[in-house]
Amino acid sequence: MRRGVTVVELMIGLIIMSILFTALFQAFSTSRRTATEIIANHSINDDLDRTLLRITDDIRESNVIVPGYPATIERMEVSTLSTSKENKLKFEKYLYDYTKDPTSLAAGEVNYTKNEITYYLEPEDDQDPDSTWTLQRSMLPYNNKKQPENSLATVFTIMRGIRECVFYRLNDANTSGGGNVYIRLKLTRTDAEDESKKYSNEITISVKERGANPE
Amino acid sequence: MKGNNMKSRHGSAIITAIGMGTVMLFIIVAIYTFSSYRTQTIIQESRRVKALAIAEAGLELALAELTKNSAFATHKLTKDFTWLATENREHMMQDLSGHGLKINAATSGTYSGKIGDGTFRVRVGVIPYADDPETTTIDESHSYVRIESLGRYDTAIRRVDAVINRRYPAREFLMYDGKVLSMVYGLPGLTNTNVFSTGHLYGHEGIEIGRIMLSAHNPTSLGTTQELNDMNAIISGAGGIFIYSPIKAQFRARRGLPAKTATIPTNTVFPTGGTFSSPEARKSGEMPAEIASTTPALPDELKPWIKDRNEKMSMPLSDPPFAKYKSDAKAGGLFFGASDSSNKSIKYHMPTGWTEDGSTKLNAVFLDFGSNLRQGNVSLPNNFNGVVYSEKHIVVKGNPPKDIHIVSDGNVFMAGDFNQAGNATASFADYYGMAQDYKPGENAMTAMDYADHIKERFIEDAEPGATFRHHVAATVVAQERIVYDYRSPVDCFENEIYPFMKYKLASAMGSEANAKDNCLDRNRNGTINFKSGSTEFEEAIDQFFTDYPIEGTDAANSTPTEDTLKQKLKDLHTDGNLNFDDFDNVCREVWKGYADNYEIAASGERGAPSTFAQSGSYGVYKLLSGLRDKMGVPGNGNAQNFNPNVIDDDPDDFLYYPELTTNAMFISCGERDTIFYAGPDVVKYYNKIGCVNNNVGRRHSETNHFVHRVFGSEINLRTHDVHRIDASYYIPPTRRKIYDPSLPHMGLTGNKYELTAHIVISWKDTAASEEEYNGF
Repeated sequence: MRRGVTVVELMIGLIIMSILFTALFQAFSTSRRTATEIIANHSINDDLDRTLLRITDDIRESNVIVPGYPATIERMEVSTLSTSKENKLKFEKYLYDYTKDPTSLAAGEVNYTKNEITYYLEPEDDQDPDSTWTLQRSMLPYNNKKQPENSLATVFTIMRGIRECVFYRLNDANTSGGGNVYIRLKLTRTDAEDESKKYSNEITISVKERGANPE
Repeated sequence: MKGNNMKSRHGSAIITAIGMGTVMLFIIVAIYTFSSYRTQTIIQESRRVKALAIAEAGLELALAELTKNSAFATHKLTKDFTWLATENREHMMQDLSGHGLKINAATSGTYSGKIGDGTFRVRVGVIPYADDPETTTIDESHSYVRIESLGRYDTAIRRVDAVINRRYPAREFLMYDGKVLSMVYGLPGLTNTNVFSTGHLYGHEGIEIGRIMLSAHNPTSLGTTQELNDMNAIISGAGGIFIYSPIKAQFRARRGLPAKTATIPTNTVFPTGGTFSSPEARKSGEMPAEIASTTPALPDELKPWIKDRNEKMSMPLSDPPFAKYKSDAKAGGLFFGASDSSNKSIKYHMPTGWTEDGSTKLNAVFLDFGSNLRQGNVSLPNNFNGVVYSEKHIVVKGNPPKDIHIVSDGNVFMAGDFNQAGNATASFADYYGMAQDYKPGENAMTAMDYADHIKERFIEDAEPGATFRHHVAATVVAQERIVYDYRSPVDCFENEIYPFMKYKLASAMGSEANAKDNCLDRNRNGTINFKSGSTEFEEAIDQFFTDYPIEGTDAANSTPTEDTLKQKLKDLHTDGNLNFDDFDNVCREVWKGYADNYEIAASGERGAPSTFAQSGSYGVYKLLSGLRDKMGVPGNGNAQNFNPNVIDDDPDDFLYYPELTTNAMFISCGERDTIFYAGPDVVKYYNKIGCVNNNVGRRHSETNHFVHRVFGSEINLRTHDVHRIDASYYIPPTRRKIYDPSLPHMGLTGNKYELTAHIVISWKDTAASEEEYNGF
């Protein structure tokens, strides 16, 4: 008795295998897409965390939040804030040199220098009212005569594709210097095709500078 | 072939299965790896956050130790931040088992412990930065502290490396107030000026400065104004700075900032019809709602010196270390318990409305450290550790011989000149106490401070090896109030009245010209010439006591004290003229007669004038008035028509303008709880007693006619509840609150009691390795 397979059997086998492989491929492909989505969404969260952590560390190392940057507002005004070029976070970091003898300081010199750091936002498309924003960090060093060294100023891009970012302080009569700085940052996936399915995350944090003015 | 087909078929299935399995495994591994990575990242991040929190807690604990013991340090440190040898230390913080806090026992080196499941190791050292001679009010060699704290949680270790600016408010600030610092002193209808000179002013919840314009929030005639001189900064921690009238101000230069003279413009119109939470609150210093939470504008050009809450210079302070003070006073100082019955314990008479229970006396200890003109009643023990502590109130005057902390659980009454000794051996000008000389052409009312060569004596006191100190490092601390007590002219103006009394007596016994040459002018080698006729001499002595009686108003009914003194003086005639020292010895006995008869004779009681001293006939009042007449003080006894420019205060004589002098760091904790109208209002009862006609004194002077000179600092923490005082009326003196430039240095090294504030001026968080932690 011949024990081989017929063409029909082979065809059926191929069809079954095709269906199985197609199903498997679909499952794999779906899983891969889902994983990609999850990774991309996590990437949004990571970007949020990383950016806020960076600003937080920056502020905590600072001595003084420059008054008015950001502006102090009433609690009821918070929901009305929107991203703008004028909304800036500006603070100063002092760097001391304790190896100097104060009697050796020339007239007008102090034993510290400082860096003035500004976080600000720029629209990625000036013409598009729905444009995403880029967060920039500029640094302006001051010398030990309290004079700005404009030629040494730098600007560094912290993040692109920001949907919303606002800085503010709350008016609180019982705190010194306007209390904490609040940062509200919102990121939205820009690569998803379906607008309604865009992953979006928004975090608001508050942080207080640790240092103080040396005088 | 068949076998091959079969093999091929079996092989395809296996390969397919392996292939599918591989794909599945790949997917599973990928998902596992991804989720595992995420999990591990989150776990590690969580550990890092916890380790950072523990490192921060270590930093805060070190700051708490520094607050409780300003001499706390674990290691020496180089300028480039290298840790050197360990330092002996004593930690004050206690374990809190309920909160998982345990501090490891050690007497030197790294400060370590456990918080929850984590551990910390901290090093603290003073950065050996040199003192900057340009910053008069700060000693930079004690002002910067590095704290490096390592926190460990499981495998994560974080490091917080911070530099702390240590501030010594009692040494640095002329005035500090834990609530609103009110600089509105004086009376309406006057043109005198209170001067506040050098250092910082700080009001934690705001500062108000202005001329007298209101009385109980009703308009009144303009009055005394305030002036700021040589100031470093005016700082409000969490409030506004309210300027009610233009204030002349002069700010000192700092590095990178020139000196500035300006008039601080008015920025607040005080609302006379303001809104208050209650009528009682209005009388208790509450600011009206209309301005209470505002931050009035200040000129940009003055912002380097005037800093409101927007500048974030908040410096709240903790209580002084009372428990430590008490234990140290018992161990090697002077301690007076609540039931002390030594001869220092007295009943101190108080004005009506002053005591909590309505009684007329308070239990106190009376401490007189003596002066150039009298012996005190305090003997310090051998190896005195510098602390005097009383659970009773303290009444104090005189010149402490050593650096000292005078601490009371209640009030401290400053009842006479304090801490300003004259070096009579080295300088004849200091014979009766430190010479209170002003520059030629100036006087106590026109000048802000003594002449430069006098001021330098205070600075020299702080120099190493100073053989004589006109003032010592004195800290006066009260859990309740520091009270300036102007009731007794004998105590307040002793070194001013005594030379004048001596001059008047010499004038009576001889001639005015001779008395002037040898008693008022600084001439120690002259002779006090007596009247030649004994009858004339004796009548002159009688007349002196008629003019300046010690007891009673009728010379014919002279009392035994006067009789004794008179006879002693009359007997001098037979011996002929007297040299300076012999005449001075006699005069001191006469003065003692005045002083002894000022107060009632009741044993163990102080503070109540005798019946005679409650009348205007008492000789000391007349001598005080005569002193002013001699100096040409206009309107003597009348506050009006006063022109300070005509006062004749020659810098080369012993004529001194009436002045209560209290030199120290004054630290009180009591809330302000008395009648106190906010704003440019005259109805503000500061903690003062006396100079009014009542059961504890006479109105011996007007505001224009005596000066209260505080050379040091005044810290009012407002941290303790105190009973209310509703009847504390007094005549305010003209004020001179002047910063003492020896404060940043004198008595600071190794001082564990200092009141300190700590400001983080640099902070960095980094990772650290296991090896670094273990070796720390």
